[in-house]
Amino acid sequence: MSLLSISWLGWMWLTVGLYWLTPGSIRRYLLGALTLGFLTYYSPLSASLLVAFTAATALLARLRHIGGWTATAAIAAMVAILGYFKLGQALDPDALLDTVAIPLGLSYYTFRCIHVIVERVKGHQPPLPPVDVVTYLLFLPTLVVGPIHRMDDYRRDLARQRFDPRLLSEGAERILYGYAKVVILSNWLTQDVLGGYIDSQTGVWAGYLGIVKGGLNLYLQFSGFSDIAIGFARLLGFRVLENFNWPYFQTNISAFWRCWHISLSQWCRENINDVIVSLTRSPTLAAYATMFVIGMWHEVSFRFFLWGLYHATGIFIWQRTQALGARIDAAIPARYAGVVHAIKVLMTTHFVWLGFKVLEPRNPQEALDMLVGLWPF
Amino acid sequence: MYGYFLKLFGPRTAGLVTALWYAAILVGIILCSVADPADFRYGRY
Repeated sequence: MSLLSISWLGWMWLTVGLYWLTPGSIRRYLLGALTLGFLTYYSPLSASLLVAFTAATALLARLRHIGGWTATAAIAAMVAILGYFKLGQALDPDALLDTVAIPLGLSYYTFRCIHVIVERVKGHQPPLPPVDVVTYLLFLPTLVVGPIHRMDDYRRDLARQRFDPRLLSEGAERILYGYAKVVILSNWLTQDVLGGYIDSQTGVWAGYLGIVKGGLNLYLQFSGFSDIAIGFARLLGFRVLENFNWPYFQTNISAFWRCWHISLSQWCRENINDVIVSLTRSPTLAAYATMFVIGMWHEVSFRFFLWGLYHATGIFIWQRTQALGARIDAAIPARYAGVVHAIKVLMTTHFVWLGFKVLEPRNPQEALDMLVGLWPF
Repeated sequence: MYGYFLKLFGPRTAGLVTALWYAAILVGIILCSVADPADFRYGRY
């Protein structure tokens, strides 16, 4: 199911129309039923998994007290199922070209289920009525490409929901911008125009432009699809978490990760990074563990392990050189502050773009050939 | 965008410019929709 298809547009407008025509008391049930219908139609396996995950999460979330072992067992079972499909995806790289490589939306709703259980264990949420959990998880706008929206945001919007023309207008505008990013800026300008220019070039320049194209395409596509999801949610009266905040204009790798795929990085910061820091007092270990989980969330494979390691090392170096950076900043005259800022942005962005290149080779030989190809001498 | 254009123009002109802005984006999307879609793996998660 592509978000660019006419059928997705049909599902979107059908959902919004029926949602606001239905009496307020049963709207969320309708949205849940439509989500389940959508998933059953496009990916019956995913629908079955989502129902099982939802049932387990709803049962746990309604308990007054959730035992540590019970929560751990439930989370471990969900992670094992997600890992099983991720591993299968990695072992059959050609399956990446197929939309049924992994059950539709599994990576996103698994993390949403874990989020609910962890929030309950920590006591950040009261015992939750099963209907709240079910309708939170069966939420069509964020099902396919995220963001991994939060339970507290969902319940807040649910409590104060009313038909708001301003939100409707914001949502429609956001969807339009999302499609513009994907279709005009990415598919046409970056893929066709820049891609065509790159094809006419040779050597290192072509290799460098290929890296730039990859980085731009990924951002424009992902943030465009996130815009569509966020806009769709607004059409239904929900404000879900933003997923991007100008990530390619950040001055260091840590700031980049606070602005790129925000819902995933925030989830990992709360559930991995903060837990490890509180247990070990080691930000370095926490950074490596967090980037490992983010890598494995994408795919259980060696290349994503390397990618996670690459970013964790970047964060580690940044953590260790912050004091030095501050001294250098203080020593540089104020009139050059703009230049220094631009250099930092360029360095961070190129570090990230080069990281995407790590993901392209399917084996060590391809990786070596790629590195040799990039070497200018 | 209407709010932004309202800072630059009067209400009627701002409304007209906003409508033109949206129409231009829509036409751009339709014209560019013939381009080959780029590979986007996040859609398969």
